[in-house]
Amino acid sequence: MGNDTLDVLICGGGLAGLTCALQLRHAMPDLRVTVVEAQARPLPVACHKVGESSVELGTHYLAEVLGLGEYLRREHLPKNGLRFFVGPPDTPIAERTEIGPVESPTVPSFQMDRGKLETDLRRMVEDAGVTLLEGAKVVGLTLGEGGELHVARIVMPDGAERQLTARWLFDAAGRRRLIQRELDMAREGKPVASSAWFRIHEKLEVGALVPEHERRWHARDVDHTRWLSTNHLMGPGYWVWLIPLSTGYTSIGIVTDHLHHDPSSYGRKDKALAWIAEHEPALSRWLSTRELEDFKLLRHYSAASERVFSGKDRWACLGESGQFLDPLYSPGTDFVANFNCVATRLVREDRAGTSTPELADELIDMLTGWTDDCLRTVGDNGVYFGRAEVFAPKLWWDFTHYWDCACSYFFNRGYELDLEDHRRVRGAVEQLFRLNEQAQDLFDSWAELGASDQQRRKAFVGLPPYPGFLTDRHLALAKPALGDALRPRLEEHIALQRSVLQELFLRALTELGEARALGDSMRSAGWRPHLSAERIACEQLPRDERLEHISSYARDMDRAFGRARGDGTPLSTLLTLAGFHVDRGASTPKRTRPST
Amino acid sequence: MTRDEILKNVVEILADSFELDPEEIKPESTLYEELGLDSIDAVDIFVQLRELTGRRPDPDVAREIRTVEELVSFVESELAAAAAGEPEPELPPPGAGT
Ligand SMILES: Cc1cc2nc3c(=O)[nH]c(=O)nc-3n(C[C@H](O)[C@H](O)[C@H](O)COP(=O)(O)OP(=O)(O)OC[C@H]3O[C@@H](n4cnc5c(N)ncnc54)[C@H](O)[C@@H]3O)c2cc1C
Repeated sequence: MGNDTLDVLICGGGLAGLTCALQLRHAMPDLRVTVVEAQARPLPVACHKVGESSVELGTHYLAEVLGLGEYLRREHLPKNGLRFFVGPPDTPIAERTEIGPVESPTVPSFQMDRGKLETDLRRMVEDAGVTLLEGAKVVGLTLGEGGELHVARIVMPDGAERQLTARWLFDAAGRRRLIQRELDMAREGKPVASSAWFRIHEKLEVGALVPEHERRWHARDVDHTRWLSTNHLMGPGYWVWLIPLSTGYTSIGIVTDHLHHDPSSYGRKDKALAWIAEHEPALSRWLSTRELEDFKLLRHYSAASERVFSGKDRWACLGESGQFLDPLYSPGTDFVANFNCVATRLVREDRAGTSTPELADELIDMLTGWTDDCLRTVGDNGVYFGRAEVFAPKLWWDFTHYWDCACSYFFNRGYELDLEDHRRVRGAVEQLFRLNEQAQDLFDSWAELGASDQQRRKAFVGLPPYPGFLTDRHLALAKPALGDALRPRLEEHIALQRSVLQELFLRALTELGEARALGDSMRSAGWRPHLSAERIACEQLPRDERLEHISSYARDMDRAFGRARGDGTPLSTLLTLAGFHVDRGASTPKRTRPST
Repeated sequence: MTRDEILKNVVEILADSFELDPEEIKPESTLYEELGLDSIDAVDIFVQLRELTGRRPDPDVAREIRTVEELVSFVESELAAAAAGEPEPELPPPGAGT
């Protein structure tokens, strides 16, 4: 390779670095890309890294943008959505509320063995013409400012040192955070939470943790596909993941927030097993006859940065080297996807001589917006763990918001729009962000004001209900809205989400009864409802007549969570107490039959 | 499960899910006319019945069911089929074609 200047140098060949290299070469087959990766093959099967469960956005990136769909279907497991078993302390799994899909999702996601995935990606990257230096370590960086080239010092496997010079420099070294350290921009992240994980060389059916006499609980899983979900065993301040891998292993991890649990209490194999025995005894019994293949603890896993991307100086922090929030909804691969796509676009524009600082700033601002939005959704989420009555409605919202906002933008290649179109799309996306902030404020108040009520526990909350509004939101991802069609699509989503948020508010108001406090908190969030008298009055009608007056999503919420029940105070009274005005313009529905 | 137990379970599911008075639900009650249910309710009933039968129902059979009694007979025959190890009907995955 001599001393030639590279187009792109990628430090670190994990998920982010390898996929970025592949994407760059697909976009520009003659681009000179080198990846420096410290760990040489062979990589261990299964016991390699966390980040094994993908969700829709990241899956779309791997399957469609990189064209790995067939590979994933062949070599990894199809994922049956996110599934949660939520309950107060010391509740057997069958007695917790199960929240999960009614039917296997049509829009795919996967459970991926990271050892296998990265081994295969390394081969693909080499086949695509990338230079992969394995067993080589980046030991120093000199970032070129104001158009200068970047220089990296590398220690080769034989101990020899060499320098690489590149026009673009991407840090993909994960938690080593090379650029962040170099520029001293690393910041403490939120939420304050920790995790430990290990693998077992055996398939774990979550059903194996529930006694056979719980017939209904077992019967619910008609297709025997529950084990293919990312199963979350959830209690106050913690959750435990169970992720199956195609290589016959099961990945198991503990995640806790610092308010409820000290990571030192599960920081070693033996302590982790004791912690599991205390909090998840059924899992502990299953583990007692099995061997832990590996073990790792990560304290305070979230990581933030002041800046993660510079278009002007041509560097970026991809994947975990930039930031990491929280694994609850498995968004790690989504971050990899969003950042890699912007990185690839900016390299391409730079090469074609068409890049402008405005375009770079625009795309980078969008990335920052996603991060903040995602943080609002998952930051400090420990208060919801174990509380199905708030967590289930929150999940409902978080799913619609995720599908209608981040996924819609990404599936329709929003990051490829030209500057003006992108600005307009971002305007719409920011309205969706705003609605999400208000929704999260609602859930925070709901959790704070409400007392968890086990009397009304629902055994199974089908999310999304099938068929139904939420399933349609999910399926809408498969219907393209490219180019000019994206903004009108997002505008539709804004209107829908406004109404969905309103319904969630009515539900919270009915269940909590704390009208004044809830009203105050939503007002200070800047929320203004547009409630029709018809919608409010129909709460008093018999069921079949009421159904004629409520929206499909209001009905679906009833189907999923049960009808909202409070202390009997009419909704109109609660709204007045909350200080919200009802629009009298719409006609009041007539009672056509006396109620029984 | 005896027929009576099945009836009790079915009445419980109907009453809990659709705000019905259990006293009002008689074996001969028609689901759609008398109990006022609609097609989405029907889907939800069959999802809930899976907890009794452990099987995915054949939609053609499900569509023909009109009364509470027929629902009970349906559960009874599903349970018998499950006990006899009969294969479940071949069904396209939900959402296929959308
Ligand atoms: C508890 C937990 C659970 C998670 N669960 C999920 C999940 O379910 N789904 C999901 O999508 N994401 C999840 N994530 C996030 C996921 O782990 C990351 O998004 C993903 O692994 C990041 O990939 P990466 O390439 O940035 O980093 P890595 O995969 O860590 O790659 C970094 C690479 O850089 C190399 N390297 C380091 N230093 C140097 C150096 N000096 N020179 C050369 N090479 C170097 C390393 O050897 C490594 O291969 C989870 C994260 C945590 C903490």
